[in-house]
Amino acid sequence: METLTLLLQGFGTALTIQNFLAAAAGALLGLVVGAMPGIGSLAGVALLLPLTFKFNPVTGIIMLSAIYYANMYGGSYSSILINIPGDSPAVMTAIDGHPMAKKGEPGKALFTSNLSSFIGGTIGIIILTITGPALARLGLKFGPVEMAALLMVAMTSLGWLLGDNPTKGVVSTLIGVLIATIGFDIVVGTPRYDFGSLHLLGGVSFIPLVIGMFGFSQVMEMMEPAKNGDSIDMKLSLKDSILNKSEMRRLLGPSIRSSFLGTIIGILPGAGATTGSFLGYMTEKKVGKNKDKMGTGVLEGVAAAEAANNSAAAGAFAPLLSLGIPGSGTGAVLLGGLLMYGLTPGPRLFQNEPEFTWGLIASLYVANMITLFVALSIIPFLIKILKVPVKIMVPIITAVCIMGAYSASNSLYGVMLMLASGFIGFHLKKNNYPIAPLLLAFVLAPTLERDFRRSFLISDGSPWIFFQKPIACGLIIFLLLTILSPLFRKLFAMTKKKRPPQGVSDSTLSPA
Amino acid sequence: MKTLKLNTRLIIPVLTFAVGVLWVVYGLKNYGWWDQGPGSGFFPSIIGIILAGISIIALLEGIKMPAPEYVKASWYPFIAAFATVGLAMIIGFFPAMFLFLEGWLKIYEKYSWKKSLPISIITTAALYGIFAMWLMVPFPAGVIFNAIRG
Repeated sequence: METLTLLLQGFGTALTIQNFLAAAAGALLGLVVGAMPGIGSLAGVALLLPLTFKFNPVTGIIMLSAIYYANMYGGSYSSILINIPGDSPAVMTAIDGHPMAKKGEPGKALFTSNLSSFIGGTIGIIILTITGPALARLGLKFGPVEMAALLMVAMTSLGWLLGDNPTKGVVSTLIGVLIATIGFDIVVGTPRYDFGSLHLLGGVSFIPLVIGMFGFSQVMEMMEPAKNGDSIDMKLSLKDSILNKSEMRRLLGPSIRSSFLGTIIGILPGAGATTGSFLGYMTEKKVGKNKDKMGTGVLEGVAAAEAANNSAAAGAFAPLLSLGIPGSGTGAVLLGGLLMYGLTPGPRLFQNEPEFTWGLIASLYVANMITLFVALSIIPFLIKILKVPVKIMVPIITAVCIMGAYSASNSLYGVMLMLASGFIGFHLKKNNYPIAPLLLAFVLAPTLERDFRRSFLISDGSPWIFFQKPIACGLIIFLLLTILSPLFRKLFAMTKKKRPPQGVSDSTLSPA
Repeated sequence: MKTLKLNTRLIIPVLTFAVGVLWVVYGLKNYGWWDQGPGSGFFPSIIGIILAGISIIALLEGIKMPAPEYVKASWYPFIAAFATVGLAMIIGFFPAMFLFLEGWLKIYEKYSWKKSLPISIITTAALYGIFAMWLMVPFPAGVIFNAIRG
């Protein structure tokens, strides 16, 4: 009941004209940027981050969240129409979405994607409303030892999940931590690792780093020969896109199933929308009514993937707001945005900043509605958005990166930092080092260091303190299992190789 | 398409190893490990040690892998952006942005004036509207304009 009252108060904040317009603008911008192939949600949010400077913290974060949220919708469009996922969570959408478009049902695939995204988002936000405060209450019981253990889990599991090589995920994570140590020591306030530079004394600025790592590195990547997407020689109209009654019934089951699964994945620290959409799709393939046809262009596949990734995106707000732990790289940008506005996400956010917290949660409901409305309205114009040539996008995005980085720092240092991080980010990506863990680690490192050092201060230097507290001990065991999982996988693969194939042994044993 | 082979599979782990070692040495020498509690160098040194160790594994893994192929063109935006920032210091941010956009579309993409000019003008105007007018960011006017203004 208390939650409902607070949520209603939140709607009071979210529905002020300024906040409503910010959510609407965020939804439109997020959809358009998300729909453009090759940009992706992370680069989209990073590029649009400077636009929120104008507003007060509540409006700024509401707009940023709407951009993030709408990006999740937009990422599927290029998956469906030209078989190039706008971002990684939309990879699973292409499996059935593009064959649907090829069969002459592009509008229906888009409509399914939008509607299941809406269902996923709604269920995810409802669960966030319930679990957010509960998680925050649990978080209040966490001391520095538990918090340090939880942060280590969040950092490593993301490093492990992304990319083809866990070693590279860890390297990325550790680089992010080291970059965060530049500037003032947050515990004692003394300068360190500034190497005599006045700019480095203030630490590495978040926005130029993000714009460079995700926006500018993407521009450099766009200069490489494009993956050949399918040409778009189809016509889209809203009338042909609307689903009939039986199609709506087929959509509902997978959407609801995937929404619950996706939200749970989203709430887990370190797991995000990509994992959510993968598991949502795979579950539908196992239990769905139309499981045998999955992959051939059926709407159940689109619905399962899209509902799961949007619900995971909404669910990820729970650990972000209540524990200060983002579930993905984009979540890390949001966390950075919150910190930039002087808001510290964590167990006390719900207590200390109820107007902001509940305003943000309520704004997600509003943004979800607006995004659905905008998403359905732009279906007829999607072909034009997708046809914007890379040749034009490269100089325009470069210019936006330069201006955004300058405006964040009001100095050329910001632009140089952006260019340097873009250059580094491009080369890391080129060598299959995932860069989302770097950003996540950069954002989480100050909190981790503070709690890590406090833990060692309490234990007088003994690392055993992490095994003396039950929650921390459980988390550390989970962490160790995650770290050792590649080794287990290798051992498992080796024993599987050594064992003769089942069919051979059966035939050898069976009488002729 | 001009390509370039650069063995960054090995260069990156060597660099990260060096960064790890630098952080440990610099941290222990200047900021300290323990002084009635963890010092400023305590946490970064631990991370530095782990990074150096993991970098050796990444290097060993990298030896077995082929070097990635780079398209020379992917460095062009980086070079062009640097040149634009330099130009911005002389003629101001927005004229430099316009010249960058127009130059890129005209010289690199070989667009006609008819096609390139509207894109450059509209983009520069939009950037001016958003950043200078709406966000009120004080962009440098450039040495030439400053000299004229006195």
